[in-house]
Amino acid sequence: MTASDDVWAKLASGYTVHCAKLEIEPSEDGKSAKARLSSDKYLERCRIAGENFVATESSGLIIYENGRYLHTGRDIELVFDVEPSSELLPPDLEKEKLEKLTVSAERFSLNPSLQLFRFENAEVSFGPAKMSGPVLEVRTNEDLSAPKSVECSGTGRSRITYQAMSLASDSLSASFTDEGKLGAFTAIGSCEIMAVNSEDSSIAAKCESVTYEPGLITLLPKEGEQVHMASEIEGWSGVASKVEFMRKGDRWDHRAYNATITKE
Amino acid sequence: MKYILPLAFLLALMPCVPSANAEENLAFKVQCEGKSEWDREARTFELNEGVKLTYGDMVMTCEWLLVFMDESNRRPLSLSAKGYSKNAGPEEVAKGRLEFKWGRYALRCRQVEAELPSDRQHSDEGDRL
Repeated sequence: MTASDDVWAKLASGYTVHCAKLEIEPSEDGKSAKARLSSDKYLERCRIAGENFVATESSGLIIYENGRYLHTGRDIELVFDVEPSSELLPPDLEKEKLEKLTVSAERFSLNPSLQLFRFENAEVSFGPAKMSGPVLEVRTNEDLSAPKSVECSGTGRSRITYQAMSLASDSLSASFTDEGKLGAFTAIGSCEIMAVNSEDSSIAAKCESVTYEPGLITLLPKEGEQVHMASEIEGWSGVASKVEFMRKGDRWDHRAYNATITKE
Repeated sequence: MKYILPLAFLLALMPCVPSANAEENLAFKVQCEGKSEWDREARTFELNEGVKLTYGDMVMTCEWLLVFMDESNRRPLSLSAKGYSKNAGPEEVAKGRLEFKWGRYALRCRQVEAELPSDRQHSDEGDRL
């Protein structure tokens, strides 16, 4: 079946969609089916509301097979923790994304059955935090209503910015609290971090790993090496066996262990 | 050869299926308020204005419907439907929407094309999209 020209639909799975063209293709034996969503020059984005999330995408393919769904496509913006609409119309994404976990990505595959959402060349934002990477996997709770963890991996740098702090590394993983806030994160491999202190000076550091738990960021070097740090504004550089950034208001103070500081 | 059918038109086709329940489920019924045409050579029914179709668990309301029948002219094979009439101007096309419910799908759009199932209802088991 092909529905075209400004299509609003509620599918059997509970998905609601708005797109330019919707093609539904059941298999011969009736045990699986595909739904293809596409846009056109008049309706440039398809809107879709699934189980506790809403998204816009340029095109998408939903496959139902063996009791499971797989949703793949290109150029997605997705907001978690949004109630599915009881009507034909998907909820308003612009309103929802102001306060919910939002992901934008060039390519994606959503596997609601496994509570796993995989995004490529993606950026995820949640409140004041933003995370990006070549491959980004979001795991959610069972009813897909809230994210549990995000992992950034793949070839290329993963990045996170959070309250006057930015960090780039080879890999990054974060977990969320039950309220959907950033709970903790760990970055491993060639970490470069920059944090702004209460005097509005920025302090940069290079190290092997970074961990964050609420209020405290800890930087550690590779074994046998040291954490390198510097402040161009304050005109100093140094090394230390361990560095901590402590939250102070909306800025970060720092503490260095076994440090050697050189003033320019 | 085309036949113009009366203004208030009701078509009920019963395909050859084994059980009485299945027959009832797959009864193909179309109502329309406007002009209807049956083209025997093309094996098509064309219905205009206030069209309502029911077929198994399929229900559609539209303004224009073309149904392609099988060789026996008893079973519908496929359909094309529009939410606006055949000779609609741009304004009516812009506003026109058809409503389509099929099993657990519900659609509202301007146009639909569908292949119709022959020996089963829209599968509730498989098509859980």
